[in-house]
Amino acid sequence: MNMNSQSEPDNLIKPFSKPEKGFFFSSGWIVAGAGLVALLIFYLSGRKETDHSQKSEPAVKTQESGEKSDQARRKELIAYLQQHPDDEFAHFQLGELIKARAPFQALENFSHVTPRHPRYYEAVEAVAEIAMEQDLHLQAKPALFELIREYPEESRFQEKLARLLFKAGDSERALKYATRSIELGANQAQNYMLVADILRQAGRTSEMSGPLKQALYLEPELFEAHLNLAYAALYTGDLESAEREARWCLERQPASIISLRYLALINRNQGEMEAAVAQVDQALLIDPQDFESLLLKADLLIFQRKGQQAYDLLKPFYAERQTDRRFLSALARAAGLSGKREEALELQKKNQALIKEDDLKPSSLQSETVEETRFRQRP
Amino acid sequence: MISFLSNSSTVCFLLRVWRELICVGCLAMFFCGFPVCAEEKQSEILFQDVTAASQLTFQHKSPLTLKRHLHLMMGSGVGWLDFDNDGFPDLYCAQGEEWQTAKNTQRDVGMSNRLYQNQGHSQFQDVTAPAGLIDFGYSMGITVGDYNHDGFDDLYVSQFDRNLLYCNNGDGTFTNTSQSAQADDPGYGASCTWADLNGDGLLDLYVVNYLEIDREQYPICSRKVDGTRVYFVCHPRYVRGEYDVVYRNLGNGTFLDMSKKAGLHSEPARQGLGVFAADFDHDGDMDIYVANDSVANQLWVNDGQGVFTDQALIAGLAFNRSGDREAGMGLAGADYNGDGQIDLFVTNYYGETNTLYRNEGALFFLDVTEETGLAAPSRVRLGFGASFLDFNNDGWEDLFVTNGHVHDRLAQLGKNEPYEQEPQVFLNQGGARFLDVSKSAGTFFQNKQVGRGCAVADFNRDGLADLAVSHLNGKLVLLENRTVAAGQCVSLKLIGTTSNRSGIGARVELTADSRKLTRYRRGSSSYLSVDEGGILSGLGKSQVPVSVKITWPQGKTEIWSGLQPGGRYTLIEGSSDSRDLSQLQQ
Repeated sequence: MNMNSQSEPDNLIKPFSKPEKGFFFSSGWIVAGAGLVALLIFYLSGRKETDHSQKSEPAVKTQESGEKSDQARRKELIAYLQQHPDDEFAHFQLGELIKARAPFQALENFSHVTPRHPRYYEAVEAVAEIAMEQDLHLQAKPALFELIREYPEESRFQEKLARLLFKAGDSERALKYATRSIELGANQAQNYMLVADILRQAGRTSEMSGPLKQALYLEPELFEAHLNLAYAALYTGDLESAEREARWCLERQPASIISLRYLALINRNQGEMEAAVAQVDQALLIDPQDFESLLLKADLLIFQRKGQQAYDLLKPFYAERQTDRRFLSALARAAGLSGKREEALELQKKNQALIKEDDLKPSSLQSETVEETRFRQRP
Repeated sequence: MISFLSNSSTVCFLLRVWRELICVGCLAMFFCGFPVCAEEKQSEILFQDVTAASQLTFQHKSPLTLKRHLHLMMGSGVGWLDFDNDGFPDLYCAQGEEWQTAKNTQRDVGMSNRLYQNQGHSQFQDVTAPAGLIDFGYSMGITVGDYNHDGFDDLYVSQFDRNLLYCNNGDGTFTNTSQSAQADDPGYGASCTWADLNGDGLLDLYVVNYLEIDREQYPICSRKVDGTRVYFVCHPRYVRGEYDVVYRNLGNGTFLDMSKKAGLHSEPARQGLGVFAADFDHDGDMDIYVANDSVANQLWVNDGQGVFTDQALIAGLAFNRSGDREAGMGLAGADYNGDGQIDLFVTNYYGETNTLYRNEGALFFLDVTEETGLAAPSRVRLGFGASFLDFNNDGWEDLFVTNGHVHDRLAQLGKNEPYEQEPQVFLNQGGARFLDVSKSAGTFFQNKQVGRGCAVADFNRDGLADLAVSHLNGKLVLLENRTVAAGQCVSLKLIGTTSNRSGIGARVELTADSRKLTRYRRGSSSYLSVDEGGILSGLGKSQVPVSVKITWPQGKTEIWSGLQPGGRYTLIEGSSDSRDLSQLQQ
């Protein structure tokens, strides 16, 4: 398993996915606990109220009447806009009313609000939010840039743009805005996690530990920060720190496959192959279909010259993984090692065919322009 | 008062404990040996920069331009040769140039390649002018071999312009025979190697070419940063690769370009930088491995007649373990794990690993970089030169890597990768793993530089392998190996008779005690560089006579026995008669 791989699957902290968290101490669990208590109170009070169910009717009615009034207001605004299609405030109001239910229509309404209108930047912010939620990067980006131009000291817009650019793979610019948002006062652990994520995407894994340590300073029990710190330390060869962090994670979540895999990688990098196999076997006990663990196990077997075993482990996945270059490469190595030379060659050719011209390491420096300077031949 | 007494008794107790601890410690040291309780005293790897003391004043000159012309960033190689046959290796340093739209025609001797004669006693003298070696092109790769079988090392130098062939006249001078020998390829030459490619006993040439660049139509790359245009060296993807060249030695002082007939044009030209020739498939001919920059590496397998097919894919040498192409720069080959097979080490880009390929036999290799501990230390370096050498003569080939980036304006471009970087030394731990010992190997390894080429030689004949390291726009550094408590060694000079006279391509198997060591007579090494022609092999603590089995490039196998540890021997093809060679020690 190459830790440089762009397609590194252990993408632990996708900013838009739910992260793994510490069991007892994370803020998420505190919120969840509070929610549970509230639910319990609600349940108990509900039981008391079952005999007096009529008492809750007004609340329902209020909600219903609110919905009705919204609906009525919506109808009114639509009717009004048919008569006054240029009324920007009506468009703004309608956009606000419908943005949750009909985001695309809301976008259309907000787009009618022009810079002359006093609520213009609220409309732009709404556009940015809806566009980000709907993955409309092309609309979200200019909206956020405009907000940053107007409110250059507002950290949340910088952060949002950073997240958007990160999601779009523009890590260089994402890093600039994520860093700026922190300079402007954003001081949540997640702000530093974002910086660490971007650095990883940019192939600057060796720089991740700084922001991760900042995140842990703010939120010492943040599980994904510990897990990423293990990864960063593993990448740079600080196996002691990597092991400490991975073990911390495993203590909190004994079923954390990623932690087990990291421990296997640490063992492997220390030259302790049998211990590495034991760790990865433990991960496979938890989830026998975990592809990354299977790949790592195959890798360990290949190093130990157990080519046939590695081949038998990988081959069943060929049909579903035949466009995964890391898989093809591993299977080719296993095939070659077990004497299946023709198959190894075919697999390597397949891998080669899948390499795209632009498929370069993130650390490679891309040019915007390539000019050919022309000089007169010297006499 | 009570308190005082109580403290006093505590102090007395502590003193007693302390005294006892010291006694126990002394006893432990007495039985175990000071300073560490180990079975055997560990050797301490140490290299000392002796450049100034050796009168080596070479300064590489390749001033960077505003537009960052690519070839000015690639640096030049360094090569060891014994041009005067005095038994001491001399040093040839390839030089850069200032940016010109045509080949440099200036006559500033400081801008020429240099030859330094080893005068013994660790002193060198610049003999470039009397040797007739002044040239002003941008020189890149060097290879040394006796192509005309006259007993003197000849020189081939690849250039950004036409390559140079220098024939050693045997009287301390060289003649530039590039044109008359028809070996002056005009391509952008990088690493090159002598090797007998068609089995006729003559040294042929393999020249790796990098990019198709014309001085008059030079590719320039840039990006706008905050309204300012920032120029940087073009990534090779923006410039076409150039075909490598095979020159067949016709035996009459001339060469024939066989590149097409040799099969090199059977696939698109690639951006090559490093080369290593060896008989990888054990079929008695020389194959060629080429490290290419950001495209698949090539393994040209020889059919015995000098016709090649690329088998890097099937051999597992085209890509790394993830199936990714890497930015191949330098190359080193040696049997790192003592299994008798030649393994390969390729230096790569920042963020990639320098990749170690373990030879599994039957022309199949495995990337074992992670497992051998070489991955993490190389991810935050951009490697160029790399050499296998046995620092401490324990019989295990260690590794030296010199590093330095190709971009000096990365901060402006929002990147945090250093331009100047520390070199590294890795101690081979019994053929299983490599340990980074750079921090304790001398001050040279704490200094950041822009490293490029490197070459190995025992220049002071003390039985320890030393290093010459070239730096882009920097001083050449000579590192004397001052490793403490090193093992025994044996030094061999090979002379071919029916095989090529330099013995390039010979495989040497040494048996000392029950241990077998395999070494190779290499035609090139590292990045753009070439090691001393002799073979210096560590033997560990063994004191018993050594037997040597040589498989010559022509296929003949001979055995010499009775070689004494610490001895230096010249082994001539066809001269072994089972005599005890301890009598032949020089």
